[in-house]
Amino acid sequence: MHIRGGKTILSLMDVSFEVKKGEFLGLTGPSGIGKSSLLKCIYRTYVPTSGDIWYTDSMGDRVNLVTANEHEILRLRKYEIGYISQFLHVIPRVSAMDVITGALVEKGFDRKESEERAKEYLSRVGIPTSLWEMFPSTFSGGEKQRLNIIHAIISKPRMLLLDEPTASLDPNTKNEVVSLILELKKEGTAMIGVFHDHDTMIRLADKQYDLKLEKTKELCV
Amino acid sequence: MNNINMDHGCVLQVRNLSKKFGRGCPHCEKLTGPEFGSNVCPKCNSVVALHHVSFDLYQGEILGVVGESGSGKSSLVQCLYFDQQATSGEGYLSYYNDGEENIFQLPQSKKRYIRNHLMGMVYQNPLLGLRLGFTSGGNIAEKLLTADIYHYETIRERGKELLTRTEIPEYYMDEKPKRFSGGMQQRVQIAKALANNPPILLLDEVTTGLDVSVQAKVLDLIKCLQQELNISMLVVSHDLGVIRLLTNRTMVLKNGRIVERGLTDQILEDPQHNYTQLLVHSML
Repeated sequence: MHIRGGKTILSLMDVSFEVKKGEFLGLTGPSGIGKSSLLKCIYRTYVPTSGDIWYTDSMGDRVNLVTANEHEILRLRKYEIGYISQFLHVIPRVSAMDVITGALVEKGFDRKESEERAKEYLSRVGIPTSLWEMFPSTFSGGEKQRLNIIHAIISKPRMLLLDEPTASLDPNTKNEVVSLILELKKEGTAMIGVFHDHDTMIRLADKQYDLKLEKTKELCV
Repeated sequence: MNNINMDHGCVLQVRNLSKKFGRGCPHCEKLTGPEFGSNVCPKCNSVVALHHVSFDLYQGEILGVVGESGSGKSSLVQCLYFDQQATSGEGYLSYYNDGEENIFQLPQSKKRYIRNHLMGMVYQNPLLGLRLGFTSGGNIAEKLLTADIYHYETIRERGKELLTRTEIPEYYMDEKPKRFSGGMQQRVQIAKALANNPPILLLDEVTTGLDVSVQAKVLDLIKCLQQELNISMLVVSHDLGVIRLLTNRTMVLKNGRIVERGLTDQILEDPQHNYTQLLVHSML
């Protein structure tokens, strides 16, 4: 639950599900039902009102993402949980190449190696070499979106949350992005994603969770 | 003994830090604060700049402090840098005596040691952090001399290294910052603050007043420094954009009290306190 301007918006009620290693769960439902809110609750961008979210980390410890302290969450975000948002927030006037390389360097990878991998990913999603040294703020919507995607997956998180990552892509680049995601899935990353377009969902998801309309209502306080 | 918990990488622990300007009276704390919308005591006109502020700063993290003008942001960093004497409260620094002693109650000489060896400060106004009449190299040398480095060649080398880092051409080393642009002065100030390799850096509104292109450069520099040198930083700003780009965790100050704290994206997207909601929704 989530409060805005005196109005209480009850967005999600009694949601329960499970995702295993290497599994993709697709969230479906009409706009405004709380699909993104659910992802944000898992990432702790939103603070859930009640309930538990249990995550098993790489050491095998179970962590409740609802009550874990901030540093624990930051550690998990840094090394284990990735999130692809609908928008890209980066420091202005940092080149695309540096943005992607930075995603690896801050996780402790060697700079040379990071650069190699950044080049590989940038060319795979079809961002032309001429753009690599440009600032992402000058990119088109689709290019920004692709940058956003590889920024999150290049470090191979153990769990990935995807919020409509392919919304503004043309069919060809969409295919390339889907195959990148599938590759990561094969390596064992658990994924939870929201897609508006059904075809992409079917290609990626192993199971679906339907956030039914009846479960959400708006209350004025 | 209220020892700092270093197992978790905590480098600075502050508990119940308070700062009062004026003579104070028994009602000061009760009659000021966010619920009164003021930090001036109606009985005695004292200003309660900070009241019971507590936080932990961890190794290599950037902690943000936001709030409107007069909320106590600058008082907080100035108390930490001993520019101002804290009225009460405790602070433990893992680098100083293993966090055994309250840094706010140390004698002046020890405080000076912490300032010169363990902390760096970048002020909003370069005038406060730099001596504009001395060369940039001289400014950096000043900081190094206070940190007991006297060897000329070493100082010179370190100066060059720092100016390169902050992207200031080497030939500006023997120029006076008084002739530099605001953005360059700010970068020299950062170079000076970094001179003695401090594990903790305090940044007070460093990008305020700079034009956006210079601002971007300074932000990038700060982020790179954190990534490469693993310095812990306290970033004070009223600009939520800056806070979003730089920090992992944020605390929100209002009338000298912390009203909310949390992960930066949580503060910005799901603020819980009324004041934070107002602040976030006023963002351009």
